[in-house]
Amino acid sequence: MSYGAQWALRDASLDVAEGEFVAVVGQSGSGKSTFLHALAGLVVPDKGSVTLGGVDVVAASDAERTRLRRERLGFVMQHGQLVPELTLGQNAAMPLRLLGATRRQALANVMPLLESLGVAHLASRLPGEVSGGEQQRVAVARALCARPAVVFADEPTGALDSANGAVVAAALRSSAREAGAAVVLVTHDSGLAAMADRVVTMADGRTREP
Amino acid sequence: MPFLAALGGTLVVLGAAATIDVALDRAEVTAARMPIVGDEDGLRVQVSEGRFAGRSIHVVDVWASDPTSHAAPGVTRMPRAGELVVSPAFGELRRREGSTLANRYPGDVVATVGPSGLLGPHELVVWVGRDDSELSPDLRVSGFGTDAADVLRVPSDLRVAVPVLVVVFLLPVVILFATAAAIGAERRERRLAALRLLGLSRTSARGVVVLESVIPVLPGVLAAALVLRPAARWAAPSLPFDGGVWPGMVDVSLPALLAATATVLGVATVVVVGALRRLDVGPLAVLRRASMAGVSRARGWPLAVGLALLAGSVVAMGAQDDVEVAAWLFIAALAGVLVGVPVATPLVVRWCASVTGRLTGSWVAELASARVAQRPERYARVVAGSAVVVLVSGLLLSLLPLLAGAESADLRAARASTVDDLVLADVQDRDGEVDGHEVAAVVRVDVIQVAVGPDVRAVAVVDCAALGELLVVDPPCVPGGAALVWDAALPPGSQVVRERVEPDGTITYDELGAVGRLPVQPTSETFEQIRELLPANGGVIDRSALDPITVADAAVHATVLVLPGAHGTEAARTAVAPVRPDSALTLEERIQDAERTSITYRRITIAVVAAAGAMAAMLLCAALLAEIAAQRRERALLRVVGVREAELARSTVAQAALAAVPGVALSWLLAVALCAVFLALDGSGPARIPWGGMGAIAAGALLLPLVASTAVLPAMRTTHHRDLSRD
Repeated sequence: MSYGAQWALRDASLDVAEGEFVAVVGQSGSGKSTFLHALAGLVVPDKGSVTLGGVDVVAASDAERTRLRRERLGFVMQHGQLVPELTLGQNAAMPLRLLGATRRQALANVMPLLESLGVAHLASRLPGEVSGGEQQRVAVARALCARPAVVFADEPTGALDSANGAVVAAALRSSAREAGAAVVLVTHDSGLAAMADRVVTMADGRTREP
Repeated sequence: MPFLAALGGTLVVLGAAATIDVALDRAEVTAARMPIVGDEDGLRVQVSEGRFAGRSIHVVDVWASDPTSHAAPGVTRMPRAGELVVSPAFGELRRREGSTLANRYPGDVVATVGPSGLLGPHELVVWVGRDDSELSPDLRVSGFGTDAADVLRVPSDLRVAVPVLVVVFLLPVVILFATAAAIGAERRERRLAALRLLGLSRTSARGVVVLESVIPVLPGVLAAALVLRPAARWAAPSLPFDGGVWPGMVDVSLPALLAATATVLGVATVVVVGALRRLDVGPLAVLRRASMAGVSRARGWPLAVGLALLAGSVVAMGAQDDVEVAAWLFIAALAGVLVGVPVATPLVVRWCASVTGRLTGSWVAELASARVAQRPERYARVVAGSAVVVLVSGLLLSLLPLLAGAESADLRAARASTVDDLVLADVQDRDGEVDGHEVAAVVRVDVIQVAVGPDVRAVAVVDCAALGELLVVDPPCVPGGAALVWDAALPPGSQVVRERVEPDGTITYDELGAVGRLPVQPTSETFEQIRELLPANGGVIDRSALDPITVADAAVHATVLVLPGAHGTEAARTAVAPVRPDSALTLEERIQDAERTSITYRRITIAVVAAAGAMAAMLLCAALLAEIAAQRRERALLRVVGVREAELARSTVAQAALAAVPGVALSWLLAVALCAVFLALDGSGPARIPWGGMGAIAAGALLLPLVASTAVLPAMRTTHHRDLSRD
């Protein structure tokens, strides 16, 4: 996959088993995020294929990929990217609302997850009123509340200090395991990568497994 | 955006200054050609207003003992009897219309009125030379030109309209500057944060934003000045002034330009500084404090005070029956509401959004409600202008029926009644069927009291010879004519005698002529109705026996109809022109004259609403595009999470609706309340509230944000997942 004359991915591939926690590591500019976006169906590669739960993501239409993300995938980004005007509870429950749950049902279903992440008491707050670590934990809850098949996490602890980062990483791992979701985690943090079941290294757009 | 705002603001200020200049220049022309009453009888002048095909004609009947020794602005010598001096536009019209106009103003055109004697290039002016027997010595003048203050001034309707329009048209400019400032800070936040990191103070950082927002003002001002002068001069003859405007009257003076520059710069600076007051330009980011602090409830106080005063006005009217106190309370209430509506709109928007968010089951509406409720000022800003327009337009519409006045109401009632339904044969086709009729001419019928034997009768007098152009008159009238209407009860041959009381108390009887009959071909059953307009005891007399000055000043307006068509109307007008100097006016024209003020205000209202609507649409699109740009990362996230494009679009439209509906609805309700109280003060009732017009304006104000938000939806499709990675 290329951006203009620059090749971001040349020879990258990955198989993820159900419930597996895979870390993709590499230096800045190695193509990790691009690889993650391609796996998640956010971008369509020039060549190759991506199959998620039997669905050919490359061949799917934008509407089909949107539905796939809504029903089967979860995302945690580096900066959380919560909707600033919604409360933390509303942000966490958003995937359930997209799937048709009422506000009350969605909040009720997401509260146990928020409790397990230690942020249930902040459910009525706005994102701007809490710390970055707390926002990321809410983002983790959002990613998992709809019981996705796969959670894609792009540098989820990149903007956090080591203590908060460890908390968020542990929360992601345990919650994903509880939900039965596979996790594909992009990170340059070796400590976070050590928590994974498998580590894949990326360099110059190519994947390498030990 | 600041460039556009500066361009618009400068055009508004310079346009207003140019309008005032034009009005004053025209007032100078009016004053310069005004006759001055004199003692010597060498020049007699009678000024009147004619009418042709809806256009006014400035008619000057003049007699001069020595035409070459007198001059007026644009007229180097007075016309002799049988001569005309005309404006170029009148000359052209006279050539085009042939005998109709030529018969009304008979004579040979010997000269043209120069520009110094004309209000504009299209003004219709005719100087008609008369014999000394045709103009009374009471009309003697010594010359032309006055410096009376009541002439050398801006017309009253412009004195009200211009400031109103300036304020209304500057409001969107203010909003545009505020929006530009807010967007400017957001877009440059990284650069500003970096500058703060390097040691720039908070005040200096704000100063950078102010400068960046205000500097584009100067090119905008310059562009407006460069554009306005040639454009206005080119458009001058077509400007909505009677007779057009001379291009030379339209100018952009240096003082006006400096004033406009200072005004626009001042407005821009004040607005930008105000818009930045809630922004914290810090070394890490530019933060908006408003989202944290919320909207103060104190915003509701001005409106609350206004409503309390309005209630007090109602109480004063009812309980104490004191109209003066009630009127003053109403004026204070009006001020409070006009100030209170834009101030309170964010509060109302936030409350409505919060309630909607709690009640709605749709997550799209929930998201839209949350966005609007968290930043009500931002959303309310772009609809505050629309809300004020709805309020002001509603009030203006309610004033219109009152501005028309009682005379207009009487005329409209006259039009509606069968009395107007008089039909005469068309001058072209007297023998033909009368297919239809319309009010086309009003013949002024003079009424005098005459003694007929021991009785005093009221007699209608109309120049029969002139009306002979329209009627078959048998026997034919002598020049000078006879009255038209007769009283069937009078025996044939009865003599009409006028009774005059002399200063010494003696009574003199003048035999005015025999009562005659005036058979006419029955063209319509309605012809008989002319008698209903006149006193019951009408008579026919020989007008030639009357001294015109002794004709009583009590007149009855008889309405004469001719077949539809301008030719018929103007032919009738020409026929009755010798009856009196002023042209006979149709009932519609008289209604228009009576309602001139209300027509002006109606046009102002329509112009205000149309321009405000266009500006509001532009501002709304700009604000929505700014929102789309500011929320690109958030939108990308929502797409990643699985939100569909259509759902994002619906949320955007819902945001626009949540911002617009409360403000517009509040303004509409307040406009209705103010209208009702005002009309009650006037003695009218709620029945006169212009529901149709107010409803149309409110509907437009509600549709506008929906249309605007739909128009900017394509900009949302540029969302790219890479926006997630940018910070």
